[in-house]
Amino acid sequence: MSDLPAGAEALPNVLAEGFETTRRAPPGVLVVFGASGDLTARKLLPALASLSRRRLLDPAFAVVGVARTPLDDESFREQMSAAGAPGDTGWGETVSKSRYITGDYADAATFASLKDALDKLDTDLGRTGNRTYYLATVPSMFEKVADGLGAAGLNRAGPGGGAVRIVIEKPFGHDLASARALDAGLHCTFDEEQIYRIDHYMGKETVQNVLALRFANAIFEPVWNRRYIDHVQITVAESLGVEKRGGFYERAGALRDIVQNHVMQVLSLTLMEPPSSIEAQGIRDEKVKALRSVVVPTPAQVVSEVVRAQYDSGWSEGVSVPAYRQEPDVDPRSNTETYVAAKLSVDNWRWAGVPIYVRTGKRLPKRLTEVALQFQRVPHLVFAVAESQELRPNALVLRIQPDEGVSLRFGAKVPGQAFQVRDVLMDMSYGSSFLEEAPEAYERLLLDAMVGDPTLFIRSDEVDLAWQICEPILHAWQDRPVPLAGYAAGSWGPRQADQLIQRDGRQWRAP
Amino acid sequence: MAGTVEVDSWDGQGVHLSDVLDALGVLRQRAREHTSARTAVMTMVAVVGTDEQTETATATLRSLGGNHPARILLLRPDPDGVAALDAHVALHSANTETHPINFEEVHLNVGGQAAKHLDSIVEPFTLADLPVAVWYVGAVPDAADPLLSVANSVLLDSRDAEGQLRGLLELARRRAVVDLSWIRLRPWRRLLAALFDPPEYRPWLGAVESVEVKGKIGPRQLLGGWLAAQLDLRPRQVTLLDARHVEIVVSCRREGVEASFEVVRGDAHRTVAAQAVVGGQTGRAHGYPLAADPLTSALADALTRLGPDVVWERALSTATTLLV
Ligand SMILES: NC(=O)c1ccc[n+]([C@@H]2O[C@H](COP(=O)([O-])OP(=O)(O)OC[C@H]3O[C@@H](n4cnc5c(N)ncnc54)[C@H](OP(=O)(O)O)[C@@H]3O)[C@@H](O)[C@H]2O)c1
Repeated sequence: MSDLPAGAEALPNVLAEGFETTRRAPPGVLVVFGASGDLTARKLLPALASLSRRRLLDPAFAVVGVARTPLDDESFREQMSAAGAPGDTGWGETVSKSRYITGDYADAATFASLKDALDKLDTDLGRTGNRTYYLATVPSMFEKVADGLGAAGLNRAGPGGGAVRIVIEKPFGHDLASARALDAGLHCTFDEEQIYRIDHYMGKETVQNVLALRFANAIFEPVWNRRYIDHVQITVAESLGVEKRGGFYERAGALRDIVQNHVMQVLSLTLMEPPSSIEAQGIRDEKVKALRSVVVPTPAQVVSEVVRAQYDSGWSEGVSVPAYRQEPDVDPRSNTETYVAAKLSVDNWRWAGVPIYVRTGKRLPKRLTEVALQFQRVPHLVFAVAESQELRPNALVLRIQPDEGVSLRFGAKVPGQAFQVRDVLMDMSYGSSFLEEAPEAYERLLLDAMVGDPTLFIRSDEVDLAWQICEPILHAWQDRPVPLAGYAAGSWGPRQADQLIQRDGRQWRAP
Repeated sequence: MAGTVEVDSWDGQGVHLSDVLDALGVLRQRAREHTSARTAVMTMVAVVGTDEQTETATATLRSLGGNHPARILLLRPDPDGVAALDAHVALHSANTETHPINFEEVHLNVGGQAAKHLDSIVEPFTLADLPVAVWYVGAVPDAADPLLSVANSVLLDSRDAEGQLRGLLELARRRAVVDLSWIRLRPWRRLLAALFDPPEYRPWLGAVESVEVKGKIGPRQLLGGWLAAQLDLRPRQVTLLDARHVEIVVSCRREGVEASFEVVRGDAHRTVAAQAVVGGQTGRAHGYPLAADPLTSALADALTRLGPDVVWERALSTATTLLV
């Protein structure tokens, strides 16, 4: 910071007036662990290039990739270049400053080289020592990397100051104990304020829209409670099977892969109380409170209120597909669940007595995520039974993907002489109402991490609570194997899941 | 952007407005049988004067339909023509990635005195509770145009306002005006502004000796006005030169050191580039790809910000003091 005149920071850029005060990444370095991996190639580099194209990266910004695969700076730069838009010289500049370090995370020498590279970049970029470490690597290496960074003194800001943050990919632990151990391990080297745990669902525009819908519209909040809502259904459906990730999935299963993180996030946003402000702490505090009021299932409840299942062969989107046990890298006698349905309950003023039904699975008929709030029936139906047979209670559906929007189902009169009523659906698509291209989830989250906005990241206590809710289910399945149901690929899940909800006189939605 | 198809249509010559409204109702009714419900965010009115403008406006608005559903009303007034109303009503469907979006398009040729009272024609077509945007294609409206009374916002292009900048200012005081030229010039403005983002470059903003803006008359005037207003320059510090492509050079001197900040055409096709040269040293340079279809993207951009723009108003107001 050689020739910065006194007070220059305070001078406004008068030419920037009128441009929306965009949040831009500050100058600094993004260190990507797992630089030769799939996530880096498919998501991180394209997201960075897109941030550059939208001019949200500082000109004094560089990427340092670290992984075992021997690569030189040039080949890594080529890979970065390929992710960019032609003519974007800003990206070209970022690429030309970027570096690649070959090394194992278990080896202290890797971190010594990293330190050298970072020191050099700090001099070259003439900048503040802002560093974001992105752990796009295998979970077993998360703690190793943090330790390595700590041992090299890279976990704290250098003498020039700057912000040092670490972004942790999912999964965060494979059960409560390992999540706590990982947390404790990370906290040896990094403070909670430095740790950004990713759940890419939170980066989705429509997940954020749940907050906008709830707290920017006066019509919803008054009815968002037990007095009007009969029950809630959360569905996270995938049409794909395990594809090539059989080996990974064998160790995970649907509960760990989807319920513990994505479903719990969507659940907490749906159930939470209005935060006092839209800032990180306000929102995260309320999410935590919501999770805390979810009743942790007892072993007996797991048996009666949680269904696990695995897909058999069947037809999916017009193609005949194999059973889970026949997928590559899957044990032919595997007991891994590819489907979970559960009935959860919430112990608080707002939601007492309102069951929350959640389900997720692979090889379901379509890919879709939604939250449906099913309203109670009108207290007294004035229409003759025959005329209102088809009428179901109102439902407000927040569609998260793929066709993002909100729909409301309500009764209306069928044109004609008789007073016949039936359901109509009022549909609103966010995509069709606003032109602005929604940024990819990773783009949003990367920028947030570099800017230092933790709102959409998962706090330590949130992860812990989400595991506390799921842990008894894992245990019950381990201790006393709850029967593993089967369902045909391409169907909406096993019969047992239907029975789970039908027992209460309710139905799964046909989303 | 997704293409659109005409699903259904109706034509009428020498008709009453009520016939057109009925036809629109019938089309919508028929469409319900085979399509999902629609959403709309506005009524979009375009006023055109020539066949060519009709074509441009239609194509541009349709290409927006897939992402920004609006009822489209295209008006071609001809006050000197025969008093008659000719109409073409069509239902279009645009396929987005996930679902079809329907929107209605109504073309009206309005002959005779009615052409001077377009407000009365537009009103029955506006969608309840949603904003009405009126796009004047190829011309700027007279401040007394009654159609302005139904417009929540007015889209126009200050290029079409040669010699009438004051009239435009007058208009902007009464309605939210969105100037497509101003939006099209965003890449240049943004790039120039970005050169001064690093704090160490900020002081140069207070040490500007002169600016030179090249371009066609509309853009160079507007950018000149913007720079003069934001940098607090005197008219004689601003030179405007005629050229095909827009370029900006800001020349500064501070403590005996000279610096220039430029935004010029980039080397690659359809790009702009900016660079700073301080004390003979070339500093930061960066480039920016331009939109492939400037009109569509300017309009798309315009539709997301339909409020008044004080920086533009100031630029326009200062532009009137500059020598073109
Ligand atoms: N891929 C996705 O779509 C996706 C989606 C959501 C979350 N995630 C999460 O993102 C993370 C990365 O996933 P991925 O699919 O990208 O995995 P991947 O393709 O297997 O990549 C792993 C990366 O880590 C590096 N690595 C592993 N062990 C190492 C060691 N001991 N020393 C140095 N480098 C080592 C690998 O480098 P070498 O190969 O060069 O040794 C490789 O670059 C995981 O936590 C995953 O759960 C991935």
